[in-house]
Amino acid sequence: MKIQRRVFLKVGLATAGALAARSAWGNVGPDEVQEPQWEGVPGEEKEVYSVCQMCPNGCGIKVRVYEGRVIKVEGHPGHPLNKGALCPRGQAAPRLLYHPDRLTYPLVNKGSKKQANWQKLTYEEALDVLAGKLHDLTGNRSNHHLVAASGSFSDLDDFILERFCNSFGTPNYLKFESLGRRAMSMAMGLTHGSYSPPSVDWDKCDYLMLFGAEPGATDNSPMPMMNGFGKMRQGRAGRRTKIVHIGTRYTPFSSKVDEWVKVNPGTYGALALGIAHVIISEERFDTEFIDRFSLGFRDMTEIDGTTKPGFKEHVLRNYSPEAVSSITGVPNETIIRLAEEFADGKPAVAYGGDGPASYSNAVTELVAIHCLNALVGSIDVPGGIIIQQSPSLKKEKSSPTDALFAYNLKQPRVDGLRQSSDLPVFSTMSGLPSRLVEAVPYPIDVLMLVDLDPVANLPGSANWQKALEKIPFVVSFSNHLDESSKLADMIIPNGTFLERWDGKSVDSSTGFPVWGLGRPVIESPEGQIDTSSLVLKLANKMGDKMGSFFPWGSTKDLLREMSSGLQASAGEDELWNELDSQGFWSAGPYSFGQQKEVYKARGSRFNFYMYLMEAASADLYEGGFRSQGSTSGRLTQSDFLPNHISPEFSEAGVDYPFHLELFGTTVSGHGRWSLLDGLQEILELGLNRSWRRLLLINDYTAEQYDFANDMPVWVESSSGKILAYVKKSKVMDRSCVGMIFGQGRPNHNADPRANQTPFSLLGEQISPIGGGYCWGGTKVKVYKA
Amino acid sequence: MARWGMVIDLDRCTGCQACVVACRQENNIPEVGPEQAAMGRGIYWMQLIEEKEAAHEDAHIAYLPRPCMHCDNPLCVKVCPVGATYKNSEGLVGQVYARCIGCRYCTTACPYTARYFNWYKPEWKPEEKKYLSPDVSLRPKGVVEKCSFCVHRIRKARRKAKDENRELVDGDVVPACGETCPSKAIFFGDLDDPNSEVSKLAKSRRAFRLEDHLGTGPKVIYLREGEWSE
Repeated sequence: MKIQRRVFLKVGLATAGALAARSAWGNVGPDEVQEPQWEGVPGEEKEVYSVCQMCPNGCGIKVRVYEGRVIKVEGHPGHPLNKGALCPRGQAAPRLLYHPDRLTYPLVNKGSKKQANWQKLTYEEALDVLAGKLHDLTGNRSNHHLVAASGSFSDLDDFILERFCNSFGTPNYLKFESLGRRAMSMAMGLTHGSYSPPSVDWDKCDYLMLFGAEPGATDNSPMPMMNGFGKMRQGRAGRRTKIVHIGTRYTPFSSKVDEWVKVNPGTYGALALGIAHVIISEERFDTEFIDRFSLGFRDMTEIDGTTKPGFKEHVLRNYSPEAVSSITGVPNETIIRLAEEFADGKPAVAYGGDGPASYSNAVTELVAIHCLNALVGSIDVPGGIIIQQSPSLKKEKSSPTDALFAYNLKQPRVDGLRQSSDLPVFSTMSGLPSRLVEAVPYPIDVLMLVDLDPVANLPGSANWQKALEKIPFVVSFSNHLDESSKLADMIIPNGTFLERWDGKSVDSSTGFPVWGLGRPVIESPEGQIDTSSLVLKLANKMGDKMGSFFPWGSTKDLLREMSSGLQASAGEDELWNELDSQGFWSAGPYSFGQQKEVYKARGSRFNFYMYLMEAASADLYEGGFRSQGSTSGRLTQSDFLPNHISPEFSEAGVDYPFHLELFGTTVSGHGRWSLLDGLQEILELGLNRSWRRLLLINDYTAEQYDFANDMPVWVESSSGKILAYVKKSKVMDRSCVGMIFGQGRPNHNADPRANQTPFSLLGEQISPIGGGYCWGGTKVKVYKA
Repeated sequence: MARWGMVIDLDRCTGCQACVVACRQENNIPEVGPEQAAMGRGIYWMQLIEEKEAAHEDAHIAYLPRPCMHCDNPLCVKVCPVGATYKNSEGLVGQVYARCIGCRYCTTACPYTARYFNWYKPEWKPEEKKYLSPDVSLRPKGVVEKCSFCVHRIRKARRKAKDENRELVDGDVVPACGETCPSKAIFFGDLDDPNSEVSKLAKSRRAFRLEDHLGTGPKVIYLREGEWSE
């Protein structure tokens, strides 16, 4: 019987599933029908290595292509970042590739912004229109009125767009990183002098203190963190890492750890400083590390005779466990115990994630947390914090194409960023969108959005909407007709990462440099062209001079040239062939003890006293950064030591009684992939609901407000209001309500009034250091819809 | 003859749901949409199920990934009036869609709620059809479906071993959930092979089976959280 079935299969069972199933019904006994009742005739199948771009980390992927169709994405088994595994967002990549709402050709809006009238264009025509607009800018000598705002995860887009802006003569290339990453990088920059998010040698860590961080729930190295979690728990014979989760809300992950500690919103850094106090007063710190590798632990006298306060005295004076306990709400004895465990549990790591990164005091809080690692000597040692090295790619700088452009390039940036002695400082605490609306410091005439949907996915979305309506020409490079593209004048569909060449440096977690090569796994179904190739074409349309900065025939040529900087010893062809077949290049393993690489700040040491901040103090003051100690608000020396600054909340008082906790999960990320049905249908852990935008509210509070489960309610802040559905939860604090990024796909809500994302509730406040968004300080009220 | 089983180490699991999404992609599981999902008709061959304990504010949420248990003594098989579900010689519990009459006795009988009914014909838009896997049949309306332990992967591995003139070895078969798991919490293999990783792990002091007292003999073995004990 088996033979008959096999023969039958060979004859060709390709099409009708039901037919084949019926044959199984008639022909075979129970033992044989374990096999699927329908199996296509084996088609042509291949596996292609590439790089995932569903988040900024750059995991290696192995894509299964069957008959020219991408049917599954797996982790690249040899890739050092994800080691063969893949997160849920990566798994959903084929659904992005074959999304039914993908745009297939460029569109231009011949109507108004309110009443759009979309007309079809070819790619050539679309680029001609854009080149025309850019020529107009040059005619008016206002090249700096071009803004290119990119949310692309592609390193190649980053390189090409920056180069384009630079040679065109606009300082306004704005790169939007995932929420929280900017603050994490800044904290590392202030203490180490190298701006990349912290990396951890997870596998060998023996004691882990997570401050508002969960494996997978942040956009900073979800895969290594989850992989490390497994190894820390059961990967090493006889050793199981103790994990402490410090957070404002008990999450499903809290149930997996050894201890959950609840803190008040925005006080993570205070807790860290309280722990530091205990470690210092009990003299449990690592004296050898502090003497050899740190600067500013003790009071010191500089060569010029000036004195500087030290971290030790500063903490002992200001952050006793009692004082910290009243700020954080963590009991005195817990602080002492955690400190003792942390100091004794070497290698121990303190890691700050989205929790502390979401408040207005993000950078200083993250610095305070990272100082714990320095106290116990957990930096640049196995099981401690490591510093990511980047691959040495060949990237030649471009210069402005003429003197006028050079003048334009020197104009102030539209978002207020300036480099103040190596520290990116913003001269404003209000964000970009209101500056665009108010034409500060100058009006913007052309806005290029690249893989960025600020109306749906960035704080201050109401003002973004106004800005997009106001700016005369907005072009959106986007796959879908997203909320921002709807307000654009032209949309150029730019394909997905599975259809393009790309190069991606791993920017955290491996330690050693890794460069992944992304390749077109398939051709774009409708011939969509990726952003990098489009900008190459655009530059060559702009004239010979501009074109001379973009001499590459294709993005592949450019990548090949870039890769030639990777390795001097191997031949260029050899290197490229290896990249081509393996999909990545790496220079592992990580070697410890490279002081010059790890500490790039003052004295090639870890800076407890933040010299970078001191050098930028005038600019910081101008940007709204105020002293904690002095009455004038002018920054004094003690402000350059790690401090807890009270977080700012959008509105206080009875009008907006609840603190809004907006958080991501591994499935939702920061909301960008809410358009994928496959992810919307996943039941969020602990909530048992899918598709719907939920408002998590404490049982007791819900009772007081007379809310029942699944009841529609309005959530309103001073910035906007949105519709959500009540989900009572025991784990929410009574003073907080919670929402998940990206939950509830806008146009799938029955109520069209709900077609806004939770971002519309957020103000646009940014941190003056580094300009990261502060999405955690929003107060809301809730009432029945 | 192998006796396929799975070990899920709950001490490694972070609850990220990568297994759930990978399973949907691998096995052509359709989305039922917001309205049907609100009625509890979503289909999840692999699902994170949870148990909430205690009524105080710091409620402990226990959760675990739940595939089909492929019981040694499956209750679903006992109640099926038409022989649409059966246990094969390798211990896999299979489902013949063409025999299923949609009575849903099995969904009720299964103590693990691992079985799902297709209330409507799954709708795939033309573009979406492109990512459907050729290895797994599409289900019509009115039949019950569930996790197959990625039986197509088992067959593929066996074919490959045969092509290479060798026996199947431990680690040849990896189901979709196990392949993607970021923290490597899911193990799969032959429970009858004393040297396989799963049978070694199954002897752990941390091992337990879900609702084992019902006599179902589940072949999914969980390792509870706790000290390193092997």
